Amino acid sequence: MELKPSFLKHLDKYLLKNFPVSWSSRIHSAGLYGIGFAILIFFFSFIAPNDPRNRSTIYYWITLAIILSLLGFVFWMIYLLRFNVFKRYGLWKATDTVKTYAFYFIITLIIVSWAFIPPITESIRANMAYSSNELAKDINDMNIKICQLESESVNTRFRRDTFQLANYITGMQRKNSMIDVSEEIYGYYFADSANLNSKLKYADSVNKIGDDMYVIYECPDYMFIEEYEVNTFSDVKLLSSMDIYRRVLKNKQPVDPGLYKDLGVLFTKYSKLHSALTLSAGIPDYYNRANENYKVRISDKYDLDLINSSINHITDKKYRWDSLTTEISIHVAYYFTLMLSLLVLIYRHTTRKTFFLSLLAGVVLTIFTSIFIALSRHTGSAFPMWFIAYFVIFLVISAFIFNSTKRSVITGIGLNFLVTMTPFLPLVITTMYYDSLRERYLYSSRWTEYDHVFKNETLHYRLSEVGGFLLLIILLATVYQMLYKKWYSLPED
Amino acid sequence: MVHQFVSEISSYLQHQDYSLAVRRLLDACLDINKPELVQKAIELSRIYYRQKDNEQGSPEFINAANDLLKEVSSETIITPSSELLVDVNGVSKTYSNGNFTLSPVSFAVSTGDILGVVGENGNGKTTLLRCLAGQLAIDSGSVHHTQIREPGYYAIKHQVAFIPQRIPRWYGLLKDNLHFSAAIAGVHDDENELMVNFMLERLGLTRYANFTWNQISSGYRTRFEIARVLLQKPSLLILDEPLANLDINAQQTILTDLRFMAKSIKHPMGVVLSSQQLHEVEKVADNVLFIKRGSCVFQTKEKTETVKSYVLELETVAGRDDLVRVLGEDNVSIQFNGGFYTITSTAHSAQDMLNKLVSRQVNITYFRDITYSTKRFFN
Repeated sequence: MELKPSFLKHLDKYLLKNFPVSWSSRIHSAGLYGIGFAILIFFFSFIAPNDPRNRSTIYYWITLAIILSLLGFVFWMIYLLRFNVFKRYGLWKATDTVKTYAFYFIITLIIVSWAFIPPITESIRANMAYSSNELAKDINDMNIKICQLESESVNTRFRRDTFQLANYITGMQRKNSMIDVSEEIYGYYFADSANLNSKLKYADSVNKIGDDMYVIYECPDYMFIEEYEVNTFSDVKLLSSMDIYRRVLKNKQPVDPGLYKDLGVLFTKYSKLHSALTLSAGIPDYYNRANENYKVRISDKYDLDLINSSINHITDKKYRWDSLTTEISIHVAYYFTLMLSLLVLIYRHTTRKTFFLSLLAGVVLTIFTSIFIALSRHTGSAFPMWFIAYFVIFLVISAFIFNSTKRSVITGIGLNFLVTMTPFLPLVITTMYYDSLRERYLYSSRWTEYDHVFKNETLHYRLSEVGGFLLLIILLATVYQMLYKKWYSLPED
Repeated sequence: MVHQFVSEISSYLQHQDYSLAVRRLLDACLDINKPELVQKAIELSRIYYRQKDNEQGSPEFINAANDLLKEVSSETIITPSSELLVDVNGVSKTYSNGNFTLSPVSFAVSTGDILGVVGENGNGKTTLLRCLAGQLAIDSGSVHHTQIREPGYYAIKHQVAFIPQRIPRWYGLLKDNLHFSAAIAGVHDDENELMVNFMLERLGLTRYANFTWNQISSGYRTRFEIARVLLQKPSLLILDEPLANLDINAQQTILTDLRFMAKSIKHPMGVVLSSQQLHEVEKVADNVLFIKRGSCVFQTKEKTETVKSYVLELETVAGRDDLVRVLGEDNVSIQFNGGFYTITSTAHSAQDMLNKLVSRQVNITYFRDITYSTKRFFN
């Protein structure tokens, strides 16, 4: 059965006859099928029965997608074995090496991206099912309603702590002490001005009892349903315990029995396991356990763990792509793509024997270097030093290709390593630079300048990563393609 | 040149050598370098293969062939002069394990030339060919490719095609591989399609165009490989034992085709081939190198017209005594290898010896004069 659509057949024939370098990379079919497969993965992970309120099953999906990515990669490699303009000594322009590498990078990126589709889809589904505003509003509603229903049993005593401004310069500093006032423990603290200002800023209520003394009140916790980062992403303000106190407890109203029903509707919205029927019919008396902490008691009574856990699952999925996770994901995708595409490039420009010996040499060198670094108890800068040393060695070995009259496995391995290490060179140099700065500033009297000196560190690392890739492209278009061409065509001994 | 083509092809058509006529018409149309003529030749070839079983030739085919011949005869072709392609001077090679040494060997190949390299197995033919193709590093001497201006082995390997005895496996469809080979040599689009169709017809591969490696015999794999490298327009074609996988008819066809292709007007090239089929190679080769234990012991181009002894091969039911009785014992030595006799005489020419045997009614089933053939070195 022929699965290839006719437009792809025509494109295939056209590229075969006119652009053999592009055709042999299979950019057209691998690209199209790769994107098609990505859409298919998106579709299946979108329609799969996966309730956003349930615990995420994303790791199974990611594992499946990684397996599919590996299969896709192997399948593409099998096709890549078939035709090779470079190894057939066809017309090979200087830009062809970069062009083929760009194709390999794009195809590898498409295949690697499959593993990221299920978590993205899961986030999309969670976002579609529950908006942040809706979550915030529902959390507020639930907290208010619970508080209204439990207004007679919740703790209303504010915690109050006395803070006195400590004068460190005059030495007026005493030990913090705790004063037992009836059933609550209240504190008496000395704080510096910065600490005290912070306390005052976030205090629920403040009573100034002297020039340098304050009683700071902290409202009891009425957040029965947790916020789980909703406040960060929602336009609707999430009510704090103090807000709830002001609305519900400050001026208590008689309990409306209809609240049970309203609360039941909200609970079933967030947990299909929650027994809304029981809730709407009223709560049995055995839940009224007076001796327990009111939060534990109320949580047990309304089965709030179930609701909290559901909201936690939803927000986990919704807010998965924070800047750190996104940055890590982009780096994982980039470095996987970079390494795999470089391996493909090397495989296509070198003999099979030299390729596999290069892999073996890589493993041996890694083990050898790790052992040496471990045994010599080097500091953190040891790895960059080793990297630079290896880079110079492989550069020298590769330079021998210019005057070689015979194809040697050693020079081939050297060239393969040189190419593989190139994109990391600027990053390693930046690391060495910042390591040396750290030595200079952190462990000396100049530590106060530390923040200023290191303020662009992250930016410099990012620029090094981009610079490394650009360096690879430039060298591939100039020196490396020439070296590969010369090396591969040399006669054997 | 046109007249030579025309008379040659006319003769083939007249004597119903249709296969040869079609192949030569294809060559002629390619040499004229007009795509419409090449297309017509391809169509003629297709007509021929459709009615191949008809010994008399179908009227459709004969009319089409004559029409095309008429068009070919109206064109003028300028025959290019022969140019030196590769000058091999004192090339020697010793493998690093020291198992084998190729002693210094010198020769030259020009466009249109066929150089045959013969010798027993394991005597250095493949080593010499691989040195010539730039696949093996030489220890001394030089291989100077005079037509390649760009320095470097990549350019050499782009221009010098080497077909090993064991053809490397290829993947995908036969036709796609041919399109690919043409495309990487800079033959694109319509010209690519035309040249691939031409090569399929020229080497009788059309019916196998959509076959894969596993679906064709080793003989057709050899033909495919020749088609593939020819599409890359090499200036020097090197073939290691190309006849090994071919039946006797195919051997003759391929050798004749190589002869024609080497002398192509549009794209003349040099051909170097090694083979055990001495007589077939000698028939088409301009020069034959005989390699023995790593040394070139004889080159037919350097042969002297006066020979010291005459040698013939003879297959007969008569016994050695009968042969001695007829040819005499003086100046004659007779060797028998179990299949045929090799008779060497310093007094009588091969023709004289044959006359004597025939006149004495010795029943001869096979006879060949190998006085000037490298075959006489195979002892």
